Amino acid sequence: MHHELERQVDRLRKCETWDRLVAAPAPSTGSFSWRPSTGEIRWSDELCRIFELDPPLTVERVRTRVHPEDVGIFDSTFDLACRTGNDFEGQHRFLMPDNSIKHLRVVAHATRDQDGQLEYIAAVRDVTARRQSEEALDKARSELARVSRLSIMGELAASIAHDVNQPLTGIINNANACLRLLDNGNLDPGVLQGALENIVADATRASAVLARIRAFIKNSPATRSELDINEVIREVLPLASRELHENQVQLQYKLTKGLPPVLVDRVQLQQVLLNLIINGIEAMFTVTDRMRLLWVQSTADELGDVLVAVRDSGTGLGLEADRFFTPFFTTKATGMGMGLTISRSLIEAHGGRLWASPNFPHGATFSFTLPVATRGRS
Amino acid sequence: MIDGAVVFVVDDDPSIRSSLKFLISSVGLQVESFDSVEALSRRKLPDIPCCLVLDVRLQGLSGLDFQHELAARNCPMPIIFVTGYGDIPMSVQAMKAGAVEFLTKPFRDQDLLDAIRSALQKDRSRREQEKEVADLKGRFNLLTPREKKVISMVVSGMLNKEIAYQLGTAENTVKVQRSRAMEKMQAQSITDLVRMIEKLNRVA
Repeated sequence: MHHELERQVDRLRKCETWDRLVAAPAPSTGSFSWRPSTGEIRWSDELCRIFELDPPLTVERVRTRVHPEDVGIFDSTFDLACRTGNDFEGQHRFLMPDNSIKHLRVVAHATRDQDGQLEYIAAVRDVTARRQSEEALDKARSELARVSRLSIMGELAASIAHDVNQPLTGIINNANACLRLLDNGNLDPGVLQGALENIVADATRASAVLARIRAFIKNSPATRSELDINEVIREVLPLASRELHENQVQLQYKLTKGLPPVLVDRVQLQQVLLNLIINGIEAMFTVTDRMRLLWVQSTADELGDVLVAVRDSGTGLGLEADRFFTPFFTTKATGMGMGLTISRSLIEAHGGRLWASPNFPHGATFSFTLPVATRGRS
Repeated sequence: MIDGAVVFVVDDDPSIRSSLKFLISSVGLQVESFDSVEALSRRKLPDIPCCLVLDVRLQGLSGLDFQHELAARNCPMPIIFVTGYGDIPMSVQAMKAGAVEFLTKPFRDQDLLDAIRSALQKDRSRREQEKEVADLKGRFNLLTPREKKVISMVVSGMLNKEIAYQLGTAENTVKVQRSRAMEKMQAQSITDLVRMIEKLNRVA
């Protein structure tokens, strides 16, 4: 049995998810394989030591160790895995018999056995020590990265809102005043001329703001480089981990290996991805009767372009899918309504497309394409 | 249209400032505009109904700060706030501090003009009230100490006979003092007098 497990672990090591998270064979890494169809589990000795359980291990026995606050998310992780057969990862707190808390990270890769049955090969790593020593540092680092990504977009949005709103207010006031005077037969041609000149000046000012934004977006591609889209997605996911965890959103992703590189600005692409992910999470704020699931997928579309989809199980698009891309349209109490507008501009500046489509029965998918690097350069 | 009234506009954006001035003057109101609250502070405020259309975010002293300053200076000019991006806590704060209205740019012109009308109306009735009280005080101060004493007893519901008895004087004397006091106060009736004294007591 152990020989079989080692062979599978070997296979797993070749898989990139494994490389990233559990590459170094640390003493606190355990592994197991699991067939959802039969419930059969095989485990390494280290896994028993991590859970502080004597063999045999079962999902039910491991579950008794899960911290009460994390049981819900633990259950949904496994439920979802059974139903979808996707790779998954998660981090849960476990309560040990001596009341100490362990932070355990699981990374599971879906495979099919000889009979085509779903089988997960998974690694479990005790990240408690790392968490305790690096928690503060990690938090500061990811917060900094997150804030800088979000605030660039947020500040841009706020400044657009203000700089466009001021001249619009001027135009509306001037036009309304003219209408009132006209109504009373009181509109002097000199006054009208002055008002119209002001309206023209304000409208010019508003359009100059928009030209500035366009220039801002256009000027950025100087920093474009050939990147693996999966790499960018993996960089962004940790930036959203706090929102995911705080809102009990389950993250699943399926990144297609061997996609051709895309020619993109790394920071802009991170902004777009983070914006779509945070939107997805926020769309699930009010969801209580079903699982809050965020699903990120990279693939190639029928034209060979790289396609990224961010899917949520939230409140969906309603009948106004197109309006989501209208500047200042927002469904959020505190939103500016600029995130998707900017995201779409950024993607289009890269030669791609960004659109929204409904999910059945719940939620929405925001997808974008990017041309592959060789074509992008021509 | 309200005659003899003035609307002050404070906004640091010149195009907003001039468009507001134009809009407000298009309904026949007198408008004066300023680029900062400091500039407005330098202007001596006229003794006619007025109100203030104030941007919340200004360079220098902010609109909300200025609202507090006016209150501290006991200058109860009604304020209509306008803002580029107003949040709810901000508008709650402004309304609690007595703002007439809190409008987000761009606003409907009718909303602004309605708010201005009700602000001027509010200021006008406050001024009328104050003037009436000042007049009453002036008249009341014309009364002799004895007359004041007599009418305070009249207002408390005592009969001439009782007043005379309590003051140790003749009923006829009380009658004379009472009618002289009524005359000085320009009161048409006892009810009228009671209303006046109540008004004075309310302010005191």
